[in-house]
Amino acid sequence: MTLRLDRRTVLKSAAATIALPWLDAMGWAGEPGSGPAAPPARFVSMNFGLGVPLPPPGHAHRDAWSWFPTRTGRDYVLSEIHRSLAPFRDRMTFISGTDHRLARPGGGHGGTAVWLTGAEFLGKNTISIDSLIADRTAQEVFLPSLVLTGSSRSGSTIAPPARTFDARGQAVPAQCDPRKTFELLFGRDAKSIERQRAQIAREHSVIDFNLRQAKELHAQLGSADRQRLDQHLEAIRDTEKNLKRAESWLDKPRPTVDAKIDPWPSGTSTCKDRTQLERYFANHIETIALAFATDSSRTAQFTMQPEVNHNEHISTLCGVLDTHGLSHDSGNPDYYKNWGIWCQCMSDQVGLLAKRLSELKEGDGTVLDNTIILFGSQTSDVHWSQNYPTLVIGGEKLGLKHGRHLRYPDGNFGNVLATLLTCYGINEPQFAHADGKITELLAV
Amino acid sequence: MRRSYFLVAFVAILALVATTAAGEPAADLATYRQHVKPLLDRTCVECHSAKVQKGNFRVDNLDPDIVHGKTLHGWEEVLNKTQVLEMPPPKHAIQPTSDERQKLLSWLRQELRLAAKVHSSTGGQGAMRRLTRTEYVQSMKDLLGVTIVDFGQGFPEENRNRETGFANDSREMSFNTTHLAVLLDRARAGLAEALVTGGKPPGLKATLKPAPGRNNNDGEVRKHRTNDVLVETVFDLPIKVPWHEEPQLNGSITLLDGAIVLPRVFRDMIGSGAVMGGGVRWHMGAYKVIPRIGELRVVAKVSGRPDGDQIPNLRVDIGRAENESPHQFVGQALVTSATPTEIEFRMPWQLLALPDHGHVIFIRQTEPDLLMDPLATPAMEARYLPDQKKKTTKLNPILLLHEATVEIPYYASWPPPSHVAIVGNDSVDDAEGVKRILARFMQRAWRRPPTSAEVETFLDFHQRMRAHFPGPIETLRETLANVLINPNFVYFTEPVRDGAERTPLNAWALASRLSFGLTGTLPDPVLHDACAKGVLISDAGLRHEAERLLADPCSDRFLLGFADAYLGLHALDNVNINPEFFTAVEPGLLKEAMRDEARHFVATVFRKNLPSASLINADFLVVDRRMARQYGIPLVPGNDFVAVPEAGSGRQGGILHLSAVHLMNSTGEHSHPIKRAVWFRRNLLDQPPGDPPPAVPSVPEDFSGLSLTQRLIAHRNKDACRDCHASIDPYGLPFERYDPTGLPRNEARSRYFVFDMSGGRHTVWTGQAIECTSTLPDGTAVNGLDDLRKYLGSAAKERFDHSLVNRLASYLLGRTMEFSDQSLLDDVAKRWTAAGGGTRDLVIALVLSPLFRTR
Repeated sequence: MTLRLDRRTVLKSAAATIALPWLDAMGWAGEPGSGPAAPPARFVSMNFGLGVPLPPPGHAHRDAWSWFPTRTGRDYVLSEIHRSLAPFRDRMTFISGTDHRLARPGGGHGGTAVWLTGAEFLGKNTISIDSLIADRTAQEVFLPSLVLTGSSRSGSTIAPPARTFDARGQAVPAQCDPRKTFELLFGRDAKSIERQRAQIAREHSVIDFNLRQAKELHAQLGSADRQRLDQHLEAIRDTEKNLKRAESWLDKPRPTVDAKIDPWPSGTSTCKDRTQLERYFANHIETIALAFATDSSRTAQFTMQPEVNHNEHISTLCGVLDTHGLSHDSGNPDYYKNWGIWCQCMSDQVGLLAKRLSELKEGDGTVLDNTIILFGSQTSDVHWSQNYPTLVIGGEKLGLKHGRHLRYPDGNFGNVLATLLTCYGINEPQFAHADGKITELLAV
Repeated sequence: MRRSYFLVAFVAILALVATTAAGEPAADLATYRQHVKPLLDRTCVECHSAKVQKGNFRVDNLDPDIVHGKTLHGWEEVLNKTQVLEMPPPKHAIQPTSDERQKLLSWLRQELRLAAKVHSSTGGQGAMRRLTRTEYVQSMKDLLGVTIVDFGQGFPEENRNRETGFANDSREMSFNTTHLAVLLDRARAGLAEALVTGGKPPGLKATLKPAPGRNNNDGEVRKHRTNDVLVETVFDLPIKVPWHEEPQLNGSITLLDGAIVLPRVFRDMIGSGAVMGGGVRWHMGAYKVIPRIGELRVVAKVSGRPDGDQIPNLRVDIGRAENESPHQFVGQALVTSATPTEIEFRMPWQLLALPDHGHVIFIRQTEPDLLMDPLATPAMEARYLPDQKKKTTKLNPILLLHEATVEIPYYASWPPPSHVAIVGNDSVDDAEGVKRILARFMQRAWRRPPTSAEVETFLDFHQRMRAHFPGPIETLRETLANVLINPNFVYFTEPVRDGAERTPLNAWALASRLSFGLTGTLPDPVLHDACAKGVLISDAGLRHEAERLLADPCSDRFLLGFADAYLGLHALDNVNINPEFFTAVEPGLLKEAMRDEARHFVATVFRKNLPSASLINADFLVVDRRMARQYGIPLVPGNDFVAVPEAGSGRQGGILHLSAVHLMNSTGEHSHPIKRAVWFRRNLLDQPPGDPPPAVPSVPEDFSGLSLTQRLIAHRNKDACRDCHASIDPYGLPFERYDPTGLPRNEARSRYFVFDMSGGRHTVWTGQAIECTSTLPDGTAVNGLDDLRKYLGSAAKERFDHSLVNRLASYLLGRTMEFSDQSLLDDVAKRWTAAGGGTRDLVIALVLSPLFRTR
C-alpha cells in the first residue's frame, strides 16, 4: 500500500502546502512497495442543529427542498440542498426513520448531547462513537480526536458546542477557531527540543501546584459546591494529560505544513456574510483534510451550528431568518425553501470535505475510501427528535456499500452507529442501545 | 408552573395550589381525578395498559404526581403525541372532544413545568458560580491596571439560561481545559504588561505642524516637508531607521489661518488607495525594532467652528499603508472650542500587528454618528448631506488641526503605574518583600485576606520557580499568574453550611456579591476597608456602600448590563435590517444605535430613581444623535445619550416603544406579532408561553394570499395550535402599527418578484392594511400599542412589578429564582414599596434583603 505522493510532493490546496519527508517513518506510506500496513481508518461526523425541511407530499417544494430524497432505494434523486454532493451520489447512503429512543423526551433541542452516544436524555452521558474510535489508536497519532465547532459559546451539559464525549461522559472541549487547531497540529516551536522539554517540565510543576491548591479548597466546600469544583479539577487533570502527550511527541517526527494563514474568521460571530461564513467553514474543513492527510488525527467531529443558544444568527448570513426562526416560520410560503437554503449551506460544507478527501491520493485509492463521513442532526422536522437526518459518505475500503436511500420507520439510530463501529473492527453490538445492524450498509 | 395561560387563570392557579414546607407547590391531583383520569381511561387505556401495550407504551402506570413521581418521560410522551393530534389515532373510533383535549394539555403543561422547577431546586443556595467572561475581563483590567491586553481572547461566551435569557446563570456555566488554558495564558499576557523590567523601552516621537515655506530636509532631527507641513521625528532607537520608515504625509493639505483644514469625510473607500476623502494621512513605518508593548499615543491640537447644529467631530483611525485604508478605530471627540485644545487618543501598540507594512494614522473630520462603513450606500450618505433639491443651506462646520504628535510606545511614567501598584516599595529580591507583594495581590484578587499559610504556599512556589526564569520579576509574573487561575479568584467561593437552609454571607463574600453586582468588577479599596472594619454587614454600612457604588460611573456596567438582560437585547443579534425594505437607513449602524437606546432608557429610569411605571410610560425619550436622526427630531449635542421630552417628538417614551424591541422581534423585513407577544409575556410578565410543540403542523400553501393577521387566525383555528395561540397572538397584534425599524406605519409592506420575457427580475411592492386590535385573554379590548401600554400600567402592573423584582434578583444573584425564594422576593417587594417605590430604591431594597445577604 502506498501513498501516491513522491517524497516532497506538494499537496495542492487552497490554503496550504504540505511537505512530506516524514512519510518514511510512517510504515504504510513510504516509498512505493515499502509499506506493508493498510492506510489508517478515519471517521468524521459533521452536524448541525434545529432540523431540516421535509415538505409533506404534494407540497410544491417537496422535490426541490426536501432534505431526505423523496424516493427510497437506488433511484433516489438529490434535492437542491445536496447539490454539492452530486458527484458522490453513488458513494453515499441516506438513512431515514431512525432516532435514539431514549433521547426523545428531550425533543430536538435537548437531544444534542447524545447524538453520538445514544445515552438517556438527562441521564449521565456516555462515550461517543468518535471517542471510541479515536481511543483505539490514540497512541499512534499526534491528536487522536479533532473536536471543532462553529459556536463561540462554552455550552452547558445538555447544550454542548460539539458532540464528542469522553469515556467519563464529559463533553470534550471544542475549538471554534480554525487557526488554533492548525497551530496545534502543525505549529512549529522555534525553540530547541531541550528548551521545549524544559518548558513542559515547568508547566508540569505549575499544573501540579494548582491541582494541590484546588484539592485543598475542595475539601473545605459543601457538597453542592464540590460538584462544581470537580469540573475544575478534571480540567486540571486533563491539562496534565495533554502535557504528557505533548512531551511524548517531542522526539517523534511531525509533518511540515507550510500554510499561508491569512486572517481567517476566527468564529462565526466575526463573519459578516455568506462568503466569509463559507470561508470560515472551509478553513475548518481544510484543517481536517490536512490532519487526515498527514495522519495527525484519525477522527474529527465538526458541529457547524449546535442548536438553540449557540450562534443562531449564522443562517442570516445566507439571507434567511435565524436558524430557530427558520424552523418555525411555517406561515411563510417559502418556508421550506428558505430553510433549505440554509441546509444547503451546511451540505455544501460536507460536499467540500468529501471533495477534498477524494482528491488526496492514498495507496491505490483516496483518503475518502478510508474515511467514513457521518452527516446529520438530532432533529428532523421542527424540533421533532425522531427521524434523524442521516447521510453516510465514503469508507468503501472500510466495508461500506453505497448508492441508496434506506428507510427504517421507527428505526434505531444506535444501529447505524454500531454498524459503523464494525468498520473499525470494534464489536460493540449494544453501543448506543443498538439492537441490530444495518446490514444493507455493509459490503459483505 | 406552566404559565402558558392567561393572567386570570394563572393567578387562580397560584392561589389554589397548596404549598409544601419548602415553599414548593404540590401536584394538582384534583384536576387529574376530575378530568384527566376519566379521559385516559376512555380513550387511551384500551391500547396502552398491562394487557395491550401498543408502541411498548402504557398510560395506566403513569404516576399522577408528575412532580414527585418517576414517570416524567412517559407524561412528556403523552403531551407530545396528544398536542399534534397523533394520539388517539385519527382513525380510532373514540376521540376526545376539543375541550377535553385542551384540559388534558393544560394540566400536563402546568405539571411538567412545575416538575422541571422542583427538580432543579437548590433550596435557594444556587450552584457556586465562576466569573462570567465579562466579569473576568473587567476584573483583570482593574486588578492589573492594564487596559491594552484583550483579556477576553479565547474565553468562550456563556450559554444563556433558556428561561430568563441571562448569560450569568450559575447553572449554565461550565469549566474545562479551554477555560484553564485561557485563564493561564491571559494572566501571563496581562502580567507581562503590568510588571516591567529594565528601563523605558525605545521608541519614537513625531510631530506634525503647518510650516509654510520651502522644502528644507536636513539636520539632526529628521524632517519631511509636504505641502507646507513639516513633520519632525525624534527617534530613540538602537538602530537607524531607514528613510522609507520615517513618518511623512501623503496627499494634499489645505491651510487656513495657519492651521490644517480637516474637511468632512463621509465614508471610506477600501482598496482603491486613490480616493480617501480629505484629512491627514500620516504614514509611519512598521518599526519592527520597537517592542510590541505599551500604547500608541496621538495628541491632536485642534480648534473647531460649529455651523448650526453641526459640531465638528475629530476622529482618529489607524490603517494599513499598502492600501491606505483605515481599519482600526482609535477614538473621536466633538470639538467646540475655538481656541486650540489638545485631545489625546491612545490604543495598544501591539494590536497593530502589521509587520510587513507600515501604518497610516488618519486624522479626520467625520460625522460623529457615522460608522465609516465602506459598504455605505448613497442613500445613507444622502441623510447626512444637505438636500440639494430643497436648496437648504449647506452647513459647513470647520475643524482645524494646529499640531499633532505621535508617540510609540507611550508611557506616562516609568515604571508604569501598574507595576508600582503591584510591587509598591517592596523588594522583589527577598522573601519578606515578595510575601508582602503576594499578600496584597492575593487579597485583591481573591476578595478576602489570604491566610498566612496561603501566602507561604505561594512564596514556596515562587522560590521553586525562580530557577526556571531569568529574573525575579519574570518569576513574580508567573507566581501571580497562578494566583489568577486559582479557584479563589475564578469562583464566588461563598462558604455555605451543608444542610443549612440559608447561611448568612460573611462580609468578604457579601462585598464580592455587591461589587460584581453593582459595578461588574472586584471590590475596590473602600469596600475592602468596610469589610476589614466590620461595618459592611450592618444595614447602615451595606446601604452606604450600595449607594456609593450606584453613584459611581462604574455602575453603568450594572445598569446597562441589566437592561440588556431584562429586555433580552441579545435577540438583536439574530436580526438584520434588510436595506431593500428600509432604504433610508444604514442597517448595522442603526441596529447598534437602537440597542444602545434601549439600554440607556432603562438605565436612565434607574438613575433618576423613577418608579417602575416610568419603564412602561415615560414622558421622555433617551436618544443620541443617531436615534434623534432616525426619529426625525432635533439633534442632541455631543455623542452621548440624553433624555429629551416626549412632547413634540412624535414618539412615546417607555419600553414598549423602543425601536430595539420592534426590531429584535421581527424578521428584519416584516414585523412578527408572535415574537413580539412572546417577548411581552416572557420578559415583562414572566409568563413565557410554552415552546411550540415538535412537528407543529405546517401552514398550507393556500394561506399565502392572506394577510398576516388572517394567516394567524387560520393557524390559530387548527386544533393543535388554538390552545397556545389564543393566549399569545393578542399581545403581539397591538404592536403592528410599528414596522421592524420601530417607525410608525400605515401599511405593512411586502414584495414579490415578476420575471419578464428576457428573464429580468422586477420587484413589485404591495402594502397591506394594518390590524392592531385584539382582545386579551382576560377580555380587555386593545387597540394599538398605547392601549397595551395602558393595560401593562394598570391591570398587569402588579405582574410587571413582580417580574421586574424577580429578574433583578436573578441578575444580581446569578441564578434563576426558585419556589423557595418566593417569600424572600415578596419581602423585597414590601421593602421596595416602603422605601418609596423608585427603581433605584428597588436595587437598594434587594441588596438589603435576606435574599441577597444569605446563601
